[in-house]
Amino acid sequence: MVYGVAIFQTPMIAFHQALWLVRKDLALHLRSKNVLALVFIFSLLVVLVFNFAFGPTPLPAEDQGRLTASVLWTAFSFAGIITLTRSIEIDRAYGGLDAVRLTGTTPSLIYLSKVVSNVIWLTLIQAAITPVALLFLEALDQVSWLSLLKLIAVLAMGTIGFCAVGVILATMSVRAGGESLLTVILFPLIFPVIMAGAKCTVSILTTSTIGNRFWISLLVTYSLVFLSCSYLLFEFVIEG
Amino acid sequence: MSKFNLITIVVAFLTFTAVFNITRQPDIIVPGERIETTVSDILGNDTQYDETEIQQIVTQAIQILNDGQSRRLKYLISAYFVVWLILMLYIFHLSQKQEQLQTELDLLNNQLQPDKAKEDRKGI
Amino acid sequence: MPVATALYVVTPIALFAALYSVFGYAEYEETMLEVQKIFYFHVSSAFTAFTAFAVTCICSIAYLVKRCVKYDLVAAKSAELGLVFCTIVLTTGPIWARSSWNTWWNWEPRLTSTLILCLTYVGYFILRTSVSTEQKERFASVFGIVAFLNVPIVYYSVKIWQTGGLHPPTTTRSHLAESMKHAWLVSWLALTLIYASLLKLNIGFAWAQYRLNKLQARTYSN
Repeated sequence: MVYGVAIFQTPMIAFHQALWLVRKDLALHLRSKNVLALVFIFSLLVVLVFNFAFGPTPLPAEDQGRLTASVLWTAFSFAGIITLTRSIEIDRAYGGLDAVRLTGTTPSLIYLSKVVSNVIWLTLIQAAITPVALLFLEALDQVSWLSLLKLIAVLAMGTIGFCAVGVILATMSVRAGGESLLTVILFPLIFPVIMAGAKCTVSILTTSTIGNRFWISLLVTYSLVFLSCSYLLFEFVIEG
Repeated sequence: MSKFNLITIVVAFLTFTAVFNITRQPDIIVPGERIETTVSDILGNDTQYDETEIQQIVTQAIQILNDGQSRRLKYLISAYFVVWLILMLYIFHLSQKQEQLQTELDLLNNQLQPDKAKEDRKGI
Repeated sequence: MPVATALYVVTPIALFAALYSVFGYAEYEETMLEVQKIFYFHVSSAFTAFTAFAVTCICSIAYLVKRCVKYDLVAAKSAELGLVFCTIVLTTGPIWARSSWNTWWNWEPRLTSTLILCLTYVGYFILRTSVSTEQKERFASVFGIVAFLNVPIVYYSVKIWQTGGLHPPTTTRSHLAESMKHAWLVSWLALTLIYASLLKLNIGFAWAQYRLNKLQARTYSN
């Protein structure tokens, strides 16, 4: 009977299931507010470390833009690792993932809902950290509200690509090696996202425009390719 | 292939390439037009010259080109040496695995033989 | 095993043919003269590493579909050989860069994407060793597929990323003379045959090790 539900699932049912799964994941995230504080403070500390390592005097505009972009993307990569590991761990605790699978939801839907919830969560964290980071890096004056919105949009697109690969790799590595294993296997795959995101960030911070269109199309292509690939492969990862 | 044989081959190869790299000075194979251009670089715009000066200048040019070539050859040989070294190290690693496999197999055989003998005895 | 014997016989012949064509047949390039000959084995190794990782991806897909352990073994051994060839690329690359452009590392697209590829498949092996045996094959197969999909994306993005500033010119294959093209093809063939022979050897060992492990488990549990 369970398989019957899965096979004859209409798109509407699938959509509702995905929505409930996203709600569940976000509720689980919100339940542990200490982790939210942890990720926020961690990102802030990364920004401060870079600031102290680089020195107090601000650079000319373009170099300051490049420094800001590298700081932001480093902080968010590490924050993303913590968030992904945490989100998979809390689902696995008390058999939550098994319970969800027993409802007959397809694994691919579980994957998509995890990606959506992690993207929402990470984008919220990024929206909170970015103005603070820009303040510390003395880049807030050069950025208008529109540029800030564009920046957060680029960060969100990068986060989609990050989570598309990150969720499936985190599911594989959480039980085995935790965050260190996830860092080692995720970062080489994520370099194009970081390249594209950092380039877009630099051009937004220095010229308030997106710059070379190639990087945006790279982010979109990357997200599409890995979302579809992981969508098909996720069932092999959680079947055990 | 035993470990000793492999080590001998690797060491012989490494010694050979090292000695080759350090000692051998190959003959110059640079084409004539390069010698001409190097000579005219050294001469500059000066058109007044005599025989001994020309000899000195040509010797100098050949020395420069020779040094350039020996530097390039050293890099070329280092690169090929690295390729061979990596492949040989990998084959060495494979031979280690093969020996380990052989030891485990012998161990298992020794374990199985007494059992086999016991079974044969039981059959009678 | 006639195929295996033929392979082991043809490989040294191809290797000698490659060495002869590189040193005795290909002509010298104008600016770099002798040092340019590193290019034949450097680029061929990069292509062979790419082939090895493609074989890993295909075998990973086959494993997920058929669930036959031998596919997973082939995938793992092919990835190992791919790493060996990546190491060759990453060591000869800086030597060539140093001799031609006087810098050890200049973020050339091919070298940078090979470095990322190398790191990715080192992660593949770390994943294989960290995860327990039942899940190892599944997880490694999924990672093998995902990692290989990343390869063209990384290559094109590094290419565009690198041309955004002042960099020394990188060699392009389109400027090759005919004799150099032939020598390059022969050296590529030789390296691919070396890869195939090593893979055949490796699969033999891995399969023997697997059967031995099963036998040991059965024997010691009785």
